[in-house]
Amino acid sequence: MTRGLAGVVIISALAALILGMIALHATSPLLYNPSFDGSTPAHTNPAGLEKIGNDQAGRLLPLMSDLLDSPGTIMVNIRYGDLDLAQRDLEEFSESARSFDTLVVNLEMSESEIEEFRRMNRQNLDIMTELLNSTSRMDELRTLEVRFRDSNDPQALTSITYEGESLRKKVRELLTDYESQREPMIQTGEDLELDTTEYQESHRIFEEIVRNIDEEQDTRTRELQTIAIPVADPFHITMRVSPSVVRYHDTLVISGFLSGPDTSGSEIELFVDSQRETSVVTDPSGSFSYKMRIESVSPGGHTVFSTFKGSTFSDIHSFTVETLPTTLTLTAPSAVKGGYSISGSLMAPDRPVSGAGVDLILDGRIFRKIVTGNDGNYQAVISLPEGDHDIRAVFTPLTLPLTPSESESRHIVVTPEDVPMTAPRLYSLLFGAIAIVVSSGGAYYYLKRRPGSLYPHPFTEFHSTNGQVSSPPEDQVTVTEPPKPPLEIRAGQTLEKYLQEDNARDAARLLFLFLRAEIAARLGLRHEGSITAREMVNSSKGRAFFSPLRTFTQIYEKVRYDRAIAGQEEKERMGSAFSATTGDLGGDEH
Amino acid sequence: MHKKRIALLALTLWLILIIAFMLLARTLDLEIFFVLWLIGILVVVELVSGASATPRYLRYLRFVIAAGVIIFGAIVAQKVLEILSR
Repeated sequence: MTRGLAGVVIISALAALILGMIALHATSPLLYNPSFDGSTPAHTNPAGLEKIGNDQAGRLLPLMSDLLDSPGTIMVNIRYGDLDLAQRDLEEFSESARSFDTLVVNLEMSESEIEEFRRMNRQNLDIMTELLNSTSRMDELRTLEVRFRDSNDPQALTSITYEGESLRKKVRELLTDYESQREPMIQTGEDLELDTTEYQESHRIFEEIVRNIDEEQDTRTRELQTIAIPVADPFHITMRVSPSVVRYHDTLVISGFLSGPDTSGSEIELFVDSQRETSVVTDPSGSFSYKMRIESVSPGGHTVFSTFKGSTFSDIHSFTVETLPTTLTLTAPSAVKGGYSISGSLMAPDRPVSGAGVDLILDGRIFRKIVTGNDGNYQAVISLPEGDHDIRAVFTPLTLPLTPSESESRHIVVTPEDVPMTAPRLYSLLFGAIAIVVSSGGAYYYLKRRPGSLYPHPFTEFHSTNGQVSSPPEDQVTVTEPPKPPLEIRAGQTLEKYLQEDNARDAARLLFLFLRAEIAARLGLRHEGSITAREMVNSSKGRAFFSPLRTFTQIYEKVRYDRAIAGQEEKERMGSAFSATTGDLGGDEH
Repeated sequence: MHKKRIALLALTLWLILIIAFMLLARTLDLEIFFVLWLIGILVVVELVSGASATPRYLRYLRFVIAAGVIIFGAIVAQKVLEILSR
């Protein structure tokens, strides 16, 4: 006995010790993985690095190879004048570029050489789109030129020549941009052992396209001067653009003078890069002026010309937009009501950049986009999850003539007390509470579904005198226990219910439960709910009711477990055996 | 062999198997261990307990399993919230 007790104590102590050790790690259940191996922050076990999905990584290189080949295919079609096919190829190129972007994001390669390739590829796509647009317009100009020459319309021919000149400039700039990407693209391709032959060939084709456009435009200009003799135009526009080099937020002044009869209040249309920019009205002296603020204008050369009544053209003038470096700052986040205040400024370098989007990067992922105000400052209140975070701001200029910039990274530790009770957090708590309630319900069901516990205790059915099953009010149970009817009456009521029950198996169980409760109480048997019919018979040996109980058990097991449904005769036999048993039980009681 | 001993042996083997695979994967995670233990003990208890009667040695184990089900619910809720917050 003492040894048994000692064993129980030792096992309990061991169990408590182990549970205590487990509880210590409950908040961080990951006890070990290879990323724990680094003895210093500079050392990392390679096995602990985040694994790249093999299927995704496997798609990366073929896709890059396709992207390198795509510009060449498009340019071949442009060179041979099949612009429809070139358009289809461009759409495919765009689709592949989109897939590649998604892949780079999924593989979290935002800081790698792959990201650089992705950025240059995006630029290539933009160049191809612009080139196709320009060559399509050039193709239209060719058709128009034939038509106007047939109708001998020198004004329209002049307009076409001007637009052609503008397009030529644009295509030359595109070539310069495309060339600037050549070396890094080829270098990246060769580093990854990709075939760059077609990409290099695309540069040669691009140069050929530009050469063809040059020749075509030269011919057009020559023919305009020699073949198309302009009719006497009473009007003439002189124009100047200053300054010739501008930067972000500079003001470009386009001014001019319309000479001719009655030029006061005439409408002059201004075109920048062949796109209508605005129209201005001349003053009484015939002068006009327009101030253009440089904001969303791409860096590089641009052309300007003006027209009057669509027939009088000025000379083509040009100006250059230079890129300005930018500085992006981010102040240390400070805790405020509702989260953390993030602020900073974007300057270029002495003038504020207004209305520009700044991306906040939290732990390497874009977290939020904030737009700068007129003074170049930006500010937002963000809520951060608990834990250590690194946050920085990134500015991407898109169409602005500015360089991209990035703020320094700020480290922030968010403690549980700092996390505000925001709506998402409330939802999280609500969800957690629901999960606990549901799992508790599941646990309760598990406990209650065991055999025996689904059936009500026989005594609970006899508190009502009209034979209906009802539970007594709780206060009655706890305060005064109603007197128990005599065994004969209770047995009679059970038998009555037995006879009313249609399902023979359920009916048999009613009688069994009654007898089990009575006999267990009488013989002092423990764990009544797990006593089987045979165990009950074995325990009743030597008692007066042993013999009828054994008969009852034999019929009960047949009715309850036999495949065939019991008939009326068996039901009656069982009722008789029950009555005989309860009769003897009553005798035994007295 | 007694059913009780078979159940104990089966559960022990199952836990050893879990630990062995965790060591092979070089990752020891109490959450995964707990969930696999719960699955193991549920299977063992279902197989050992009879249709109409529950052995005495399994009676109190049901309360342990019920507590395990609640903890399992809490782990699932925590994982769902982790995924949603990404």
